[in-house]
Amino acid sequence: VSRTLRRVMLVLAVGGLGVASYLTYVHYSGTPPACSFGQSCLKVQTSVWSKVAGVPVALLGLIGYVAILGTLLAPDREESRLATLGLTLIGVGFSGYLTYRELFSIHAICEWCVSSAVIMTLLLIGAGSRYWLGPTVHVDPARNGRAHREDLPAEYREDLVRPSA
Amino acid sequence: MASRTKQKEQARARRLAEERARLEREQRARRLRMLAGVVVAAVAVIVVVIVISVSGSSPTAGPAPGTAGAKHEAATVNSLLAGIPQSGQTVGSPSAPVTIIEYGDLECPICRDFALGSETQLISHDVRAGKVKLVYKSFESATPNPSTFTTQQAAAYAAGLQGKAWNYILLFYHEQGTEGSGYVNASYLGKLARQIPGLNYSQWQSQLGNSSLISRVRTEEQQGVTGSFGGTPTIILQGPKGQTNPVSGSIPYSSLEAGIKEVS
Repeated sequence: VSRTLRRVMLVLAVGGLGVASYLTYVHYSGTPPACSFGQSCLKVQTSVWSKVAGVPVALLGLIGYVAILGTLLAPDREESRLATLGLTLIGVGFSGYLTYRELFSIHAICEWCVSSAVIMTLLLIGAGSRYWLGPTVHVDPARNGRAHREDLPAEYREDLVRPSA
Repeated sequence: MASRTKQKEQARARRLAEERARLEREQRARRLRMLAGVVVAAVAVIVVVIVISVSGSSPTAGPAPGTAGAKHEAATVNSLLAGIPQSGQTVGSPSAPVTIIEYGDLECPICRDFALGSETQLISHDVRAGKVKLVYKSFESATPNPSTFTTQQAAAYAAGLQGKAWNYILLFYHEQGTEGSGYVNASYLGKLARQIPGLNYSQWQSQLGNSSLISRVRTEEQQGVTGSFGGTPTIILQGPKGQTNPVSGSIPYSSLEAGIKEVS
């Protein structure tokens, strides 16, 4: 299950990376984004809210997705799963804020931005379950019930809580 | 014997189960602690980004018309344009070899950046020297709804009927409100007009609903859509050597200078 989830999340992160790359390209090239609601994407992409301290939010998204991909491709450990979760939490929070701006400040919706927000939300759900339901400890009967790293399948070794004794 | 072995085995199984339960409890508690930490950190990051986003966007709004700050802005705009010929949507000598066309949205903050920055330099140097004339056209970007857009742009063109379009356009940019806050209304548009010296207010007001001005805004808007403009402002330079491709964004003055050389 963990492996399938990781694969699905990889696909989602690559999709998000694609969307963010496209929006970053559009931002810097000065071409209008392909949009099914007239000029609403253009409105969103050229609004004051499209930048944070001069950095286009599309680029921030791009960096975010690269970082998420990094944590997904890193060795599957407790820390990397936690890192994915942290990044997707930030991603969802920021996407939520931007969607709020789209709806209430810009009064226009950009489907690219919404699709990125949806991908980010799915990634958060994935990262949350992956972290919480991550591999549990194995107990080694041969060692009187003490769990031991070497007895675990290789992929789980790093997750182990070392016995306190 | 058998029962002793059995007892031993049972005890061992119990120990195993207890150990496993203890480790799982520890793991859950540890994960919960980490989770709380990550949530707090994520919230902190988001709050910082939002604060930067909000503070970064507010300076794009100018002083509201009618305030003391607005008086200063009006003086700046009116002295910048004083003595330069204007006709309709054009500022600059009719015989200027280079024409720069700007497609803009009066509510667009990037247009404001451009107007207060490179465009001001362009007017005080090249337009004043008679080398360049500037033509303003309309393309909707930041304005929340099309009817407000048409009204506000046509209000500037109405000032143009008295040779004051550029005073109106630049005043609008200087006293622009916060994007999307719905600050543009009849009173706002009227206050801008009142700050223009030499503008006949009632004559301007009578031209507000002028259908030929409104249809001009719509035609220009359509040109922008057909030309797939990437936003506002979109700039096109025309000169004896031809014309440049439309470029969008707050273009630096140095790029404008390079463009002027290219077409003249």
